Amino acid sequence: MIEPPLVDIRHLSRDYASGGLFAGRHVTRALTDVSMTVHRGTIHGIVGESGCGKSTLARLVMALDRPTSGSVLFEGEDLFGVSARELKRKRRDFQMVFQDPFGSLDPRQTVGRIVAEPLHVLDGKPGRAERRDKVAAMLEAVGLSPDHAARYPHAFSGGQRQRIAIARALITEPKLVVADEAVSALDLSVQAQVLNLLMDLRDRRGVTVLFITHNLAVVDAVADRVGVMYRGRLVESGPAQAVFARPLHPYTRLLADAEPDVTRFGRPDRPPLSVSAPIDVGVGCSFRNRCPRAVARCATERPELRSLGDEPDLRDRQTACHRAEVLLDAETSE
Amino acid sequence: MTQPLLRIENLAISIDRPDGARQPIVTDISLTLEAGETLGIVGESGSGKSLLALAVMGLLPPVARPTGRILLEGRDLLAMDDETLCSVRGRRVGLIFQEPLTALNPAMTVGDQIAEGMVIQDGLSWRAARREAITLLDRVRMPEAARLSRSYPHALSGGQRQRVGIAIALAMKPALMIADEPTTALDVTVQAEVLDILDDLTRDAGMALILVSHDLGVIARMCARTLVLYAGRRLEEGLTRDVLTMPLNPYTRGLLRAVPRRQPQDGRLQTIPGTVPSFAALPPGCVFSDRCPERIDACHAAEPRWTYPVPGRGVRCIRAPGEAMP
Repeated sequence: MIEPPLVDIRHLSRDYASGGLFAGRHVTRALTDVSMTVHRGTIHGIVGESGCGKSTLARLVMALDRPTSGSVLFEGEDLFGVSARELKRKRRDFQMVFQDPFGSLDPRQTVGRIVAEPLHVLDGKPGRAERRDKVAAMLEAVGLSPDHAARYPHAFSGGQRQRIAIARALITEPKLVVADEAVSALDLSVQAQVLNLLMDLRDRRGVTVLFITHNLAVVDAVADRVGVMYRGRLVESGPAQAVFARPLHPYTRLLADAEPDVTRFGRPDRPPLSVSAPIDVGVGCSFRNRCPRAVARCATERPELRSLGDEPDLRDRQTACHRAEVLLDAETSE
Repeated sequence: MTQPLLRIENLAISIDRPDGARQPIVTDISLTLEAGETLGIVGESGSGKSLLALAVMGLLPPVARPTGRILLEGRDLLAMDDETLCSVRGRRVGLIFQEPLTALNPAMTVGDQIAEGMVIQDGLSWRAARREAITLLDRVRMPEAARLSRSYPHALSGGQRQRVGIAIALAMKPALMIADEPTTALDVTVQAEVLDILDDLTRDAGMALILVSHDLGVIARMCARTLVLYAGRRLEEGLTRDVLTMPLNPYTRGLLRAVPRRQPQDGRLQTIPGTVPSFAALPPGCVFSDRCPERIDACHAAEPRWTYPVPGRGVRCIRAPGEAMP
């Protein structure tokens, strides 16, 4: 029998109700029909702007929230179909690293206690000596020293704190780490150290990382696969380097063009980004009001995620764009 | 001889520590900026870049002890009494903050926040100032400026709030704009729009811009000249293109190598080992010597002088070309 993928996300949607006091109640759809597969031992990037649903996706994969519809299969088992007890047992297999290394560590606890904390919820809670050994080994694995365990978070820099947060996430030896903007708050020189650490953990320990960020360059540098999200939907997916080298969705193209680059000096030679008119996102493509390639069909028919063919550089890639073939031809002729 | 818009001479800033001792933070900063010029200041956390920006604004906290001179249009900000300073800042210098939400008053409409300065400083009526506020919102390309001027900050998106922040800074028609990480909290597409707006303002209005950022791509996009700060010292200065394509200081080279970019399969990013030292624990000699891959023994002996190996190009490193090797 084939081993199921580590995480299989199927038709996941999440609505949030808001308003009610002054305005009428209305429902915001944060995530719409997202499906993707995260394979073992890979770094899977999710990129998109704020409000695109990427953090909602992270919360659902971590089972911190329940979907309105759809399912998350972790090693083939539905996280929302199991009992609370069973879910608690499963939690050791997935851990999270947050954005803010200053807010996510309790300032009144020693680093040793912070890193050991997830062990306390395990069924077979390890003894004191074993906990100490595990913490020491984990601190070393993330490039800190075992005697750092006795110190408090304030003694550490931002990069070191993020290493502590990663050590805490890894102490239960999880199969999956969800990193939500885990390097965004770090200085450049330190950011590179933490990114290298994630790649080392993938290669040496086989850790799988769901890496959520708005920074394309970071994903391009570390991720094996990437999913691009826009307004709650997955609009493109594929091997990270191929996606950024030759985007198959106009939104990915827009993101790549907007990203500042140390080798591009002065104002880029592009038309100013237009202020987009609001549109009804209930029908058609939700990107059409910002899309330079939109046609009439885009306003009436929703583009579904599809493959463009079996050629070597298109295999394994998907896009949700009616105009992808046109985009592809334009990219090729450029 | 014409006067530059801003001339900083031998600026040093120290902070009074709780134990009574003085902790030097910013050391030996000198620079000039002409009208319409754009200067990027690159520095990681702990480089002293924000303290430098506050000093130029005349907004140093009471514990800070500056020495040297900050001449704005020939007048020394450090020698002014509070009242004179108050009319200079705000009028001549505008400031854009990193976090537009915390910088705005949540209990006041954005239109009134833009108008406030014009009422207090220019003596405009509220009616006229509010009209002017809508024009300013238009100028920063805010859609539906008239309607949104009556809304409160919480109702706006991050990009819209930053436009309001720029409009507030613009209301006084400043000669110099200081932007401290203005787009760090924004999405890339919104960032591109905000940078375009700032770019238009320096081109069309002749406004000078000091842009503080840790993002080298943003600096490359926006600034003609660049100053690299580390541990309160300038380590390198020059035309942005020169600094980023032919860096003279190993720290600048290290930063450029650490920029995330596409790697060969299974490749690792290059890093600068260690972390930025605290001001109380700087290494002897060159402040970067403990992390520098190119250090030699002489680097620990004394702090390198600031030199000009090429006209318009400054560097602090004994190993930079043009410097005598020991």
